[in-house]
Amino acid sequence: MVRLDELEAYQLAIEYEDESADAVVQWALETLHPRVALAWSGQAEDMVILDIAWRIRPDVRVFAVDTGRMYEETYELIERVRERYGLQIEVVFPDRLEVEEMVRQYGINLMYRDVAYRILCCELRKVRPLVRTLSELDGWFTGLRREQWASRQNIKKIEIDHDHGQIVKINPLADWTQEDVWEYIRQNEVPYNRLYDQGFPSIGCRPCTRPVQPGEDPRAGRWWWETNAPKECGMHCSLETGGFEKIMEAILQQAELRRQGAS
Amino acid sequence: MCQACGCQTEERPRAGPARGPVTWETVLQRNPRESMKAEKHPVDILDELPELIRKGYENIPEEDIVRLQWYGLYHDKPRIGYFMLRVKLPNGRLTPQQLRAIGLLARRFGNFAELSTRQDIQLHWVRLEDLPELFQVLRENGLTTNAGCGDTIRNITGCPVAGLDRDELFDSSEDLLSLVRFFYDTANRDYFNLPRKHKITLSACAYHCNYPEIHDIAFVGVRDGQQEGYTVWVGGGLSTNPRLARPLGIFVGRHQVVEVARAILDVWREQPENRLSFIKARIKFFVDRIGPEAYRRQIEERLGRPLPDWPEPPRPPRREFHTGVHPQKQPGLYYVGFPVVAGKTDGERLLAIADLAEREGLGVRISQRQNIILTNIRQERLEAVTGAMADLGFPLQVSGLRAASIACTSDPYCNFSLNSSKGLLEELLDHLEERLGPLDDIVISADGCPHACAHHWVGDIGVQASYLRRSDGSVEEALMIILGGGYGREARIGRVVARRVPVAETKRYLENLVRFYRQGNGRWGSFAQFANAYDDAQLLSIMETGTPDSAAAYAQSREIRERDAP
Repeated sequence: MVRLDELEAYQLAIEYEDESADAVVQWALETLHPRVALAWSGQAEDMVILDIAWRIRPDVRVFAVDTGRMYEETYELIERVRERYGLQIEVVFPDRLEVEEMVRQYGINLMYRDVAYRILCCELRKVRPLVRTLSELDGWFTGLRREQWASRQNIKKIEIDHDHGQIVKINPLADWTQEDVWEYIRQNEVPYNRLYDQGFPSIGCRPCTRPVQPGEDPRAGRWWWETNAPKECGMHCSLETGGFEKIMEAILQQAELRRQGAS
Repeated sequence: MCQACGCQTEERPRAGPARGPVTWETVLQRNPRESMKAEKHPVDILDELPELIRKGYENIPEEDIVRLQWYGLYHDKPRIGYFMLRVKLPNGRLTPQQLRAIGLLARRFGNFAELSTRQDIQLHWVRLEDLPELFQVLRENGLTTNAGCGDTIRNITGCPVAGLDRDELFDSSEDLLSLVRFFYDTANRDYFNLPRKHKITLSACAYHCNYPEIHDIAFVGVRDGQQEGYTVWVGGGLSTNPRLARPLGIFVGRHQVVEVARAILDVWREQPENRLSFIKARIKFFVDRIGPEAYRRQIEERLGRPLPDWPEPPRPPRREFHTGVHPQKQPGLYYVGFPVVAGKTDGERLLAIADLAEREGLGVRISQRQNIILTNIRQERLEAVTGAMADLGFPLQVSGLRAASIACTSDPYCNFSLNSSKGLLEELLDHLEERLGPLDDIVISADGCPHACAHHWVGDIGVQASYLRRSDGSVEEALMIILGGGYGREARIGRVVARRVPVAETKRYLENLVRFYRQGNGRWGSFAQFANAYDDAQLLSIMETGTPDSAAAYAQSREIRERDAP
């Protein structure tokens, strides 16, 4: 088990700030493998990191959260990765009792009815499986880039993840632009999610992700029907306290009761 | 080597941002904060405030929330729409009426107010819809939050008793105000778009109570016969890459401070390399790169003339935090520095102090030790004033440790903090005083994160919040202990001597350390000199066992730090 404290991580962040993504990934693999993994969701950035990491260690660990509501193109990309790289992405699934209870209470497409329900769906289908996986790791790679959101402007290439048990969070593409990402994909012939060719600016679950028209704000491609919510799903920010937590507790209690009833 | 084609990874087609000469275009591509500022100058967000409030917090783009930093607003924890508001008090100076206005505001917002380590007063729990009224009250009282946060000139600090202290070289108040008049004025927009935050200090305090050594730009008062002015140091700053300021070796006349500050800033802010990356944009990195001699030449080029030399950086004779009772230069008058532990106070008490000051005709100052100083107290009123303050919960008879230790904002407010450093400081003070009695010549710096707002690199004993991660994934609050740092004549960046020490053990460690120091009966001189008379292993041994010689204790401590606790 490798531990870094806050100061060590900050100093590494300064040291690696001017280094290439390759160097950052190399540091992480040398220091943390096999207890470091790439969280993969089919984004272009994820494929770039996968390609970079695989060239350094073909047995790099990559995991994907299958929320159960993904686009077919994303599943298809998982297959293409296996064919191209010989790399089996570890696919993790949400807790079936929790999801079944949520659907029982709020319907299968609850996310359209209220922000709280959408966040609940994100929490159970996406965030919990992620947190479970991370609890076994000392570090994880993400494709976060400073350009993407104002709340990401200050992310460092290496930092401590306070939302996930103080493990190391490695953002090798922090200072890459979107053009840098696609240039890399083109030049290195990296497989990418076919949804991008259909005008999708980012990849998420099927109910909540759609393509945007040229000139439209790219953020309009996620949760477009919502007027009053932050455009993150909890993977990269602490889920803020709110009414949905009480809903979530009730859901979990019910799921627990069923679990006990079943045993 | 690349597994795919056998090449060395560096040879692959361009992977990521191009490296090469840095242009403004590169800056805008690589640093989204710069493009945010270029797209709309954050100073202009104030005009949009009514519209932002109408839209509602959840509908405001994040970039505009960031722009509000330029008016002293930072998210409180968690980021759901409550804000900290930083009221800047140049040189920590305010009138009783201003104190009253702030007290009334504090009372409205959770009745909490904190005195910062840079002579500001901070309120919390402010929402956007509260701002128009808040700003109006502040404006009417001649108070500002302009450039409270953001990539700006922050509060300009100095000696809080400038003009009063008998030992000062001269009264620097007007010179500091000349900086304020220029740099707090949003009409000077260029200086509200710097590569990064910037901290200026100016004083002629004999004791350097304003720590010029840790500032981005320090005007350090000097006197040479009849000539009064400043020598200038640049590139100090703490956080994760702590640096002491480097002397430029120049002499600046009192009327030239604005001109010289501008030249220093212009050289830094106009070079695109300094804006490439947010985390390496502080001026200290620039000074690292070019060195003080080259910086001086570039400044002189800007000014169009060479500057007179001042080769010998002044060193203060001793440390002084202006706590306690001191006679002023003005005969018959005294100033008294009242300890405010961890800078924590509330609206009610600020109002009571405002009343007291008005009744007695006193001045009010905030010191960088998060304390309140009342000035112009007549000798015959000293007992009444100190008695009234004691009744308010600010007794004068406390140890030097309690009077001058400092703690950062921390929990429950600051989003960066891992703990409540204010609460921790109080616990440490109580523990040490209970076990060892009053301690006078030691100060503790308690920080909640590596940003070092409470100077854990240069306080006698620095503690920074950390954590112990166990193999089952659980996390326990712990502390990092930094020793050997110093202010003023002992200015030095400390060393991390112990990591991941649980809080309870930290109390025992510090007790052993201070007891050992006291048993030396002053043979090393100051605490900083003591801490530098031993190496890390010896200090750890002293903390663990009370003696410096136990290598076994050191090894045992290291092992405990590395393995999982049961």
